[in-house]
Amino acid sequence: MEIEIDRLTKVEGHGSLTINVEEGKVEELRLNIFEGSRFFESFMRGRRFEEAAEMASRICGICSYSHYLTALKAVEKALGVEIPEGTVALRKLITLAETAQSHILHLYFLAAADYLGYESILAMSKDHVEEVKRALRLKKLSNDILSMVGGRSLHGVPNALGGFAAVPTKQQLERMLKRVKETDDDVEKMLELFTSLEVPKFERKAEGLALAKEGTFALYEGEEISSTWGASFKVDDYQQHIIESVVPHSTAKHSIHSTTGESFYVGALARVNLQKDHLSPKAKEAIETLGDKFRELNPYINNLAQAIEVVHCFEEISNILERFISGELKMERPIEVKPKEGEGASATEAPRGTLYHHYRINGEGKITYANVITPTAQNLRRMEDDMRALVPQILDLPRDEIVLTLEKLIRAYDPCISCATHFLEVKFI
Amino acid sequence: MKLKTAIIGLTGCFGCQVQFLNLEDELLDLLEVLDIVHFPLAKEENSDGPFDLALIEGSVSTSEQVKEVKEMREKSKKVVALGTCACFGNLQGISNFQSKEEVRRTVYGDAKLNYEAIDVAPIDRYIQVDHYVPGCPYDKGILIETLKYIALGKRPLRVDYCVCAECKLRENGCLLIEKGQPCMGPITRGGCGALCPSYNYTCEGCQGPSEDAAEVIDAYVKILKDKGISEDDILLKLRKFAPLYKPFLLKILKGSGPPKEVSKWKSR
Repeated sequence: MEIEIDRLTKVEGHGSLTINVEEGKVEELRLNIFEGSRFFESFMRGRRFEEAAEMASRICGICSYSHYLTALKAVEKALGVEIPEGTVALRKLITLAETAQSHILHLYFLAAADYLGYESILAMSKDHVEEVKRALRLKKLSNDILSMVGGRSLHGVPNALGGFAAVPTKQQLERMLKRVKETDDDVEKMLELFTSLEVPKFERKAEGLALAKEGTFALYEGEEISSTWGASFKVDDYQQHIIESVVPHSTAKHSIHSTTGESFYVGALARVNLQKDHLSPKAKEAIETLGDKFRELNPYINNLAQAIEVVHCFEEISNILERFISGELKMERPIEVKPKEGEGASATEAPRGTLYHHYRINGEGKITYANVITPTAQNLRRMEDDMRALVPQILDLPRDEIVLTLEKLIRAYDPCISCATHFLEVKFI
Repeated sequence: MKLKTAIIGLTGCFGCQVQFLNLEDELLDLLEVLDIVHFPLAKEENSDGPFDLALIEGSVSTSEQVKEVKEMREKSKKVVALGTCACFGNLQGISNFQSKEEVRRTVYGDAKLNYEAIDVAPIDRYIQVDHYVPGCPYDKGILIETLKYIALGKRPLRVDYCVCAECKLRENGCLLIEKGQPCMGPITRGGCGALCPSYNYTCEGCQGPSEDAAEVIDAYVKILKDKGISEDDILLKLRKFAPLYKPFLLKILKGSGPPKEVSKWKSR
């Protein structure tokens, strides 16, 4: 039997799926990625260090701020700049809002329709106008938080090297806090919806990786990567651990973890599995209520992990806003950043998983080396491995169901193909 | 009659399609005017056309995309170039000026791969474009206005002023003249509301060149030089969001003298 999905829809980027099954065995399985490529690592060489984050932002239209902040973190590390608490808190606000925004976009706009039996959210809006309006409200709020700090909801003003050159006023923070508080009901209903969806039963043992920082649910801060299988490693050593390789059917590279020699997963599910204890009170309560329903090894559960993270994000956003308003956190003046020779690698948790940026800068402030590893590039191999294990289990289903089950799985990973192919420019023959 | 609309992405970050979904306040109303029948980012079922309107994000960077964009043109009554990639090529266009061999080595080292690279291009290198909505990302309000005019069968208003006009309206101090920072406001199309200067940062030109950029480029470069900005840094500025825009290219290549060629952007 051959299964061919020519054009994967409702994922960010261009891909297709080819599966060939003979006598119940998967002979061939390829997630083909044919996204056009954009040479970022190459054209960023020779640019000024101030431009790194601004340019990196353009790698992705959904998680632009993740690329932006990860690049900033790497450049500041290269130049030996220490960022004070207030600026870190503003950056965390951005990370939290972007995570919420991206998850809501994925959950409602790309994933929900599959489970509710619609072809798209546009079609859903006829019967479920309240749910759709809720999605739009939650997305707008997260985008407005991004705009408040960064200037606009995507590709923010590049003014944050060493600290933000303009910061929100107390009045803006107070107004935003009020709006976040008023959204509690929407967040609750969002969680209800995604808890109620029945996901396919499927489990496969695999290693999950995520950024770690003691005592926090690490999204922005952290210099270490923790593993569900125990051994952690330093972000600085990422090139010894995350081994990328080129495969002929994809313009995005594949990754394995050197320690295990196997594929691994990153993203909401990995984070929640690893850092459950540091979730916000409401998010922790949610996961406790779910109990056994939260299957740690079922990749479809990634959607639910995203919903839980949305709860966490809004609660943490409130918390940071309150600390600024009370004066516990202070807006800091930007530190002047002077060029010097240096090198820095950094990682943050982008909505889809760990994102690595790495730059070398020369004495004139020009970038001489750039390297980026995106979450989707790390997840691609795992997606193929999961499908290879899943397909034999679902061969009894009607063909349409098989296709939908596979599409749901691919979408559960929330792949961001344009991110993953930010640097590959080739057409394989 | 609703406009049968297609929204597609070529090579880019998908942000301009996401920006369409970011029209949170207007999206449901827009669906009363636009019948979005083709939108693979958000829809499972996608019509093959014909379309009344095609919104195209991204630059052309593979031979398949050349075909795709030409087909889309044939099937669509109106084509809108959405965002700076589609209008001007955007950052990925910078790589056109690096040797393909160098690029290959940067990414693959010595690995031997067969590949066919085509130069990055804005979509109007291959097809006729009816309306341009540049910006990285474009301003949502301007897209709404453009769609409104198209729905009414009228020609959309053009933003024919530069970022400085909006900066003055916001009563910002001038980063270029007063602080000597290399702000690209004078040669950059308005529409963003002078966003970056209002956040105390120089305009980097993400909305693409202003309509009179070709005429003012010499004077602008002279100001930068007078402010002590190096030749090299000026080149980096011009080769950024609109690296393929001819007046900038000619300026970079020749160093001085007014550019002879006027771009398609200007002539529309």
